[in-house]
Amino acid sequence: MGEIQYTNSLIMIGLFAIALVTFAINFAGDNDASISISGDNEFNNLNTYASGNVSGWSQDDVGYISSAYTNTTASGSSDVTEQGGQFKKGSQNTVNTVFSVLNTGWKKIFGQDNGFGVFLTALVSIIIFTFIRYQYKTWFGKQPD
Amino acid sequence: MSLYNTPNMTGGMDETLVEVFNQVPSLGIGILVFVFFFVLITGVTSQKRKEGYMDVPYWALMAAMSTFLLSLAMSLKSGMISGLTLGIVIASTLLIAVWFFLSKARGEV
Repeated sequence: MGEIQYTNSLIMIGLFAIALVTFAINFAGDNDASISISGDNEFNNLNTYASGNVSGWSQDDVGYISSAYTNTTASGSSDVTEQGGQFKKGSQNTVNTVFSVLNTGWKKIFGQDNGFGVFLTALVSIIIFTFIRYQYKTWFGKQPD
Repeated sequence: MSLYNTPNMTGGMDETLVEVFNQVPSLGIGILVFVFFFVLITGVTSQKRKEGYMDVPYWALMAAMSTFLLSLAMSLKSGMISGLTLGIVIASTLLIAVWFFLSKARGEV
């Protein structure tokens, strides 16, 4: 597997775990189910652990992957531009627009639950990460994965 | 001498189901296993027939999700499924998801 595929796979596993466990807990809570996993230590620990792991990715510009990329410069040459500006503009705004659309739809269906907020933030962040990796490799003339 | 006590049908469908499950304790787990393998085997064989290959991790995940939703529905009323079984279904679904996400071929994100 390529680097991007591998990273995406790991993040998707974390997102899937968060979504599944949160859904099960909320389903039981909403419907007053007799059997629930909300008191289960292992699943609660998994939820907390996975949320903490994936929320390290962020679309904010302060001190995270996206700002590290946008502040990167390279030695200019005939094949590589110094700032890489032609590759850096536009994609983050596009993804943030998608984020707003998804956020509204998600709130309507699932309410304001914090668990799904983490899911959405992390999903959008990994999309941004994928864009950044593709752009970075294209900027330096390499074949993106 | 009868093998089972017949269920009391006057309490409604839910009560009848719970009494049936009490008489046959393996029924709940048997239904979940049946649904899982039904979705898996029919999906895999129909894909093989139409496309020429079988994406087993994908169909295993579809089967696991179907089983998970069914087990959530069974968890609404006490007596059909135990908390341990529900935990096992969720854990199995997570493991199958790990298998699915790590099985992507080159070019699939």
